[in-house]
Amino acid sequence: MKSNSFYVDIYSQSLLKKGEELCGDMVNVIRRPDETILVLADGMGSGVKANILATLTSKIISTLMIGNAGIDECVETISETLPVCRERGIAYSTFTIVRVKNDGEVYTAEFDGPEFVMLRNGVLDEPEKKMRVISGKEVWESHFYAEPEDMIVSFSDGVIHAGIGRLINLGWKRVNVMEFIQRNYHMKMSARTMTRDLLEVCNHLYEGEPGDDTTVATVRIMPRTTTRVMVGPASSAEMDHEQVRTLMSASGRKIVCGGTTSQIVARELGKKIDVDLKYYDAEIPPIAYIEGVDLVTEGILTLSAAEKLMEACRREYGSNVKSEEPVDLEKKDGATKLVKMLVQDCTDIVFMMGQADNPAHQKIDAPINLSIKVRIVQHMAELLDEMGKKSRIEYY
Amino acid sequence: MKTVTVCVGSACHMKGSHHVIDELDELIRRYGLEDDVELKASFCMDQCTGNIGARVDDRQIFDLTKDNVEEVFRREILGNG
Repeated sequence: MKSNSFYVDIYSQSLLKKGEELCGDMVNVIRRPDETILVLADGMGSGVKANILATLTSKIISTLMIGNAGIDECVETISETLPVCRERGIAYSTFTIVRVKNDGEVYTAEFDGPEFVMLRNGVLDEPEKKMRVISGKEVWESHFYAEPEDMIVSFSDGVIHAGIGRLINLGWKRVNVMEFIQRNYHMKMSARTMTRDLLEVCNHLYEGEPGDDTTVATVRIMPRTTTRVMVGPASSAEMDHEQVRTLMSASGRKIVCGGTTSQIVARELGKKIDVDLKYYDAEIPPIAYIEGVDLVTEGILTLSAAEKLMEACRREYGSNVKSEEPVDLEKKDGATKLVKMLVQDCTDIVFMMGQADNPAHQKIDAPINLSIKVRIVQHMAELLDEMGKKSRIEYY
Repeated sequence: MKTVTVCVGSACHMKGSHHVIDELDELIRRYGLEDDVELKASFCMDQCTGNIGARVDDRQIFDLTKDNVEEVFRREILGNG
């Protein structure tokens, strides 16, 4: 595979042990120009102590790996640095490391947590692992090359213990978790969906009262494609043809935002445009359909709502401990559909920003103008970049 | 069979096309005209600067607002405005 051919979609989430305010599991994700690193650490116990152990462990490993240190140095540093528990006389945190180079080379290292579960082409697959003793700790490592849509689901032992003493006497076993992951998977499933589905089952088994911090961190290997989003008509009608031709050349999704803009696209393609009558959200105009285009929405109002949703997604993806309700990406309005497509299904995004002063917006008693639309698109591009995607804006 | 098309583009949305569509839908049912009148949505009809863009078949309507839906419906559909 040539370099930079993969994007790594990552989503992690934790259920907190009942009664705790701090999570004893910590997920750290580092995105660098040539690689992405995920570290999941589960600190001994729960509450403050576990939180500190897990935070230190995940941060130490991430920081050292950025400095290109090997796993040996990471484990040695953890052993020397972690504060020792007064009651138990040990310093302890499990960890799972998944490091993916942009060309698809994967390295994993696991210490004492449940082994990650891997799917290739939707089928359970275990890479060959070798054990090494480092600073007295048994660390299992693997090296392999990823294939498009490989999924690696790592989790803390709270997942395996879900249901103990409640719905299932001894909890469900790793093999049950594996079965669930395979059964739940569908082609091109996002990391977010797998993580949330698995956690929902755990929460159900715990009857909503987790007996342990329970964390899932899913890695999905996505082939890079370029999605194009056409926003607003070009400054000169002479450019319409070229702009639409470029839109349709996208290797990923083709998206059109704007009423007038979608009419231009339909005209250039010689296709019909069907506008949906249905409002799924009273604030957001309906979507439309043009054959060959993946999503057609109204412009400024939809974009403005999408910007807010995307800000919430950015916060949500940023930490395994969620400070607010996750965004409902299953809603059917244009803004939600746009955000879901960009956040979950896309890797590289080009906004094709038309610079015509839309005649549709003149003389309306509302704060609508081109500069606001440009600002929204610029902000959405920044948010996508912060989420590890590659975005840029072309002006027409 | 008549087709009523209402603009749901940005400008008309802000003038209340959502409400207009709901009310037209309700009127079509109330008069039992589900088989005689088709309600459709459209993006920009180049009437942004005026009232809410609308058409009955191919004829443009220029005076539709969110407050006179029933009046326009009686005139255009029932023919007794």
